[in-house]
Amino acid sequence: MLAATALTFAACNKTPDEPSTPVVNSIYWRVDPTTLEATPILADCGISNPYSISVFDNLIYLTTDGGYSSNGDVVCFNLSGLKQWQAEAGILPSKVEPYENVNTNLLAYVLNEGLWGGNNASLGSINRYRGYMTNNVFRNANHRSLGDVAQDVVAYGHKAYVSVTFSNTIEVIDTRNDTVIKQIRMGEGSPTASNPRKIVPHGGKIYVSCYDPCSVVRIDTATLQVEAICQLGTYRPEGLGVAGDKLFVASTFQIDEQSVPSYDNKVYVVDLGTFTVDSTITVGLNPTVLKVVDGSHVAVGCVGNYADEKASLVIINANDGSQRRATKALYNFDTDGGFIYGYESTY
Amino acid sequence: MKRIVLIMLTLAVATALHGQDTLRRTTLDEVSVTAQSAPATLRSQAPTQVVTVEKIEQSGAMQLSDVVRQMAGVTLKDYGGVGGMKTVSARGLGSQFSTLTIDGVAVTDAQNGQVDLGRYMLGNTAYISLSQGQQDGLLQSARAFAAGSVLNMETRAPSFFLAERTNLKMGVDAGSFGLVSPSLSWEQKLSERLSMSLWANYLRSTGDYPYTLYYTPDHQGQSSRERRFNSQVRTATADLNFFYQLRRNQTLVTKMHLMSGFHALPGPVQLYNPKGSEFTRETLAFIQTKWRGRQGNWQWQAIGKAQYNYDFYEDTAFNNPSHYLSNNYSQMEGYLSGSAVWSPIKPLSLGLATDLALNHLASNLNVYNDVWRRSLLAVASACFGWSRIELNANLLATLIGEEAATRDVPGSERPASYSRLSPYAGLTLQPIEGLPLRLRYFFKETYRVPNFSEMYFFTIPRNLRPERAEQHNVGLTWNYYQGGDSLTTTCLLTLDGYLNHITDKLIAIPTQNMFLWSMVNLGLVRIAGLDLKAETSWQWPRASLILSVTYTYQHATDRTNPADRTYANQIPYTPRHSGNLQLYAELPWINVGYSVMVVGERYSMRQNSADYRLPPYADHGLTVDRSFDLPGATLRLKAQALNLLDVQYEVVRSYPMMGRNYRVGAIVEF
Repeated sequence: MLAATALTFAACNKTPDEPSTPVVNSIYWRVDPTTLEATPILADCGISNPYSISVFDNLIYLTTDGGYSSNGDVVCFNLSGLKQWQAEAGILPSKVEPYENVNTNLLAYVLNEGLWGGNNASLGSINRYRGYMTNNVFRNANHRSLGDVAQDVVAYGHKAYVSVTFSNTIEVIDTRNDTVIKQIRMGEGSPTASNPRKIVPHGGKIYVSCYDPCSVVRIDTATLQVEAICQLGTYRPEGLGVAGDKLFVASTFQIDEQSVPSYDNKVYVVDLGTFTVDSTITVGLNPTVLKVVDGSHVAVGCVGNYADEKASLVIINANDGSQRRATKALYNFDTDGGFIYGYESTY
Repeated sequence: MKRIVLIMLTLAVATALHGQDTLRRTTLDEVSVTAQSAPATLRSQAPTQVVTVEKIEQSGAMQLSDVVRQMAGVTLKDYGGVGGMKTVSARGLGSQFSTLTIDGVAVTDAQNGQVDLGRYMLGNTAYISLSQGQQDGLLQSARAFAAGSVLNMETRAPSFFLAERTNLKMGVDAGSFGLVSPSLSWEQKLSERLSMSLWANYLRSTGDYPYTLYYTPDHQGQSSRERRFNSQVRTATADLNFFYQLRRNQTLVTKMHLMSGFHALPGPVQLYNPKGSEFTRETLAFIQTKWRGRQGNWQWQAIGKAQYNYDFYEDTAFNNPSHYLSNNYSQMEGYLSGSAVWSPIKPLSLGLATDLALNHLASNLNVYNDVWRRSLLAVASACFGWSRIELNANLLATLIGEEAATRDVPGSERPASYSRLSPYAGLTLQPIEGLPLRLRYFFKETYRVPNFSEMYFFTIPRNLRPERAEQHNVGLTWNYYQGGDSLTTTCLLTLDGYLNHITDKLIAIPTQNMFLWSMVNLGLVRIAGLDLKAETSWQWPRASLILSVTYTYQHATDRTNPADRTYANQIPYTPRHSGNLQLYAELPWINVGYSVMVVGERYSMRQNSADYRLPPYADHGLTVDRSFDLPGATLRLKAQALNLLDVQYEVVRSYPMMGRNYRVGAIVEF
């Protein structure tokens, strides 16, 4: 809805004097991280208010927000923009994540964030090619709900990791039957951190950005224990990704004692060997979504400050730390096959 | 004819229980215009429910919300426990269309547009009335005309027995989970014309009640026993009133009210992560004075009020470097109201009411922190009563202007000024003379401007349109009375059907920034409902029995967009079926009351799917009380068991309600 409004607004503001390049009526773009060439995709997908985008195995999964008070949908497209199927998910479906089951390469998890205070985060499972959705696979297998506001799901081997930020847990599940192997209670024991956010797996570990303190924790996938913490600054970390032997972490914003937000403009580079901050890279304001493309480029979605500072998409070269700004300010995106697929910010 | 007009103008008492509703009224000429009489329930055009002090005492109610939840046609949103917020929505319109008045003067919260009924204690109340649509009578403030429904709390006026000059009353309530609430009432006759009353109350509760936590919404999965924490409450209320009889038909009533409270906020239960670090401190202070008079065929009323609210919120474990966040909001209101009614010929009355209000809001938030709102409300009204027909009509003009410093947010717009004319029309009809059956109808349009939170806080400021509610109501009332030496029986029945529409309903939509919401005029809601209230009393020489039953049907559905998943779904937290039963027996040695509230399934989201369903519940209560005569005083003792069957339920998702709990109380009256 908001995206649609902004789009109309932008269209109306086009003056006749501007260059007569054909106006592409798309908010969805594929960006090549090497050439920065942007190609419109999903031209007539009919979804003007996407809530998230996930891309893998040459399929694009968009989700819708359901007006924040009803279930959203998952809609699958092929790379030509042809709609494959549409299925009802839960409250705020925010990620589609493929996982290995006994039917290898057939299923994907659908993570539904849920609303604050509603304990209605949920995990569904979907047939990637047919769109058959089984909602609440976590709840059905474990006789309890995920909790309050799920942030990320990552499948790694035969395990999947779900971060539930306000329940302060990471649920480790067996992807073969969705049963819980361990509920990691964050904020208990030492080292630890609270309010887990995004997860990235690498080399037998998972790395989780956390809000309190602003840090990344390392969890061993065999012992399922938090084994190390790398403290960052005072801004809340969000998206993270591994390129080479470095972990890149987006540093977003903080809220002061009077509820005033302020925004960071950094990406932390953490050395995986020492698990300490190696350096920082200054990017646009409020870097939030961070994903690695093909192991050598780090795509950073900077949201801006919702006012004068607009959104931008910054591509960092992971080898030398250099950066370039893409022409399309993709607010939310996923990476697959060396490309960035995403949609533009309305700010 | 004179009788009907007079009754209407004086908001005459409903004597339904004694069956005199259709009988003699000539004695009412002697009733002063300020006589403390509750509004009529049987002859009113607006469906009106009245709970008198006797019934309040019988039910053992402590907070205003305890009474309101028993009424027909209301949905009380209750966040649980003594301290949990409790707001009322009448007939599916939403809490912001409901106006709370104290002695006919509105209590406002321009910031949130709704008041927490749990913060108003009942020890000093003569009666509570709820009028759907609007109250009867032309002598009202324009604000009362502007409300979608009016919940009035009338302060007890002092009355002195024979030559006594002082009434003194002391009481204390105590209950489970650290509930202690002492109160003091002092009424003093200062002269033949002037009397005062002072009422003070203190309440504290730890509120750490146990509950069953269910880990699946259908309650079929895992569960555990948990305990609420960070739920303590402390409030102190003082209420000072002066009643001055200027002349035979003129009174001046002045009230000074001060309430100060501390609430720890337990927040929603978030699975696997018990925490509690939020607190509020709030102060409400107001002084109001009301002058009412009658001379010849004129009646008038003038009200002046000044109100100050201060709300402080803090989170001592907020997710920032200092682990601390605090917000404060201070509001001020200046309010003047004048109304006059002229009855040039017997069947006709004409009225005018004008209200002026100035509201200011300041906060420490780095947004609009200096908001001014000026409101002018004016109402022209007419009432025509002839034989067994009464017609009412009025037209309300609303003019609101606003000023606030702007903030640089894309898409933000200057605050609007609002103006609108809203009509009301109503009819009451007694079809057959002598038969105590009355029919009633009204249509009303109500216009609600966005409150300050919707306009300015955590939202992109926009030129929001006000919400508009249209109400249609058709109803009948009937009563029956049979007197006798050994048994007196009364029956009373009211049945109302209604159809309401809300257009331009304000809905909050989060933006990409979690701290910035956007309000949009997006909703269309249709509410088709039915309110039924039946009451019967049986009175023997040494015992009596009162039974009352209410039933509410509300088909309140989203009609915004047929393509939405929520279309034709019941709006959140509104049960299709709900009802109450209350039984009170006065026996020679003890009085016994029993009540049950039954609420059908509800949904926590706009989509009515099983995951968002809240199961039905029944909440039973039992009260016993007895009075003793002591030398120079009376002592009344009571004991209550609430939620007798220990049913675990939630009114609001993730806010468990108290299970079985007990209260005892003692009141000494000198």
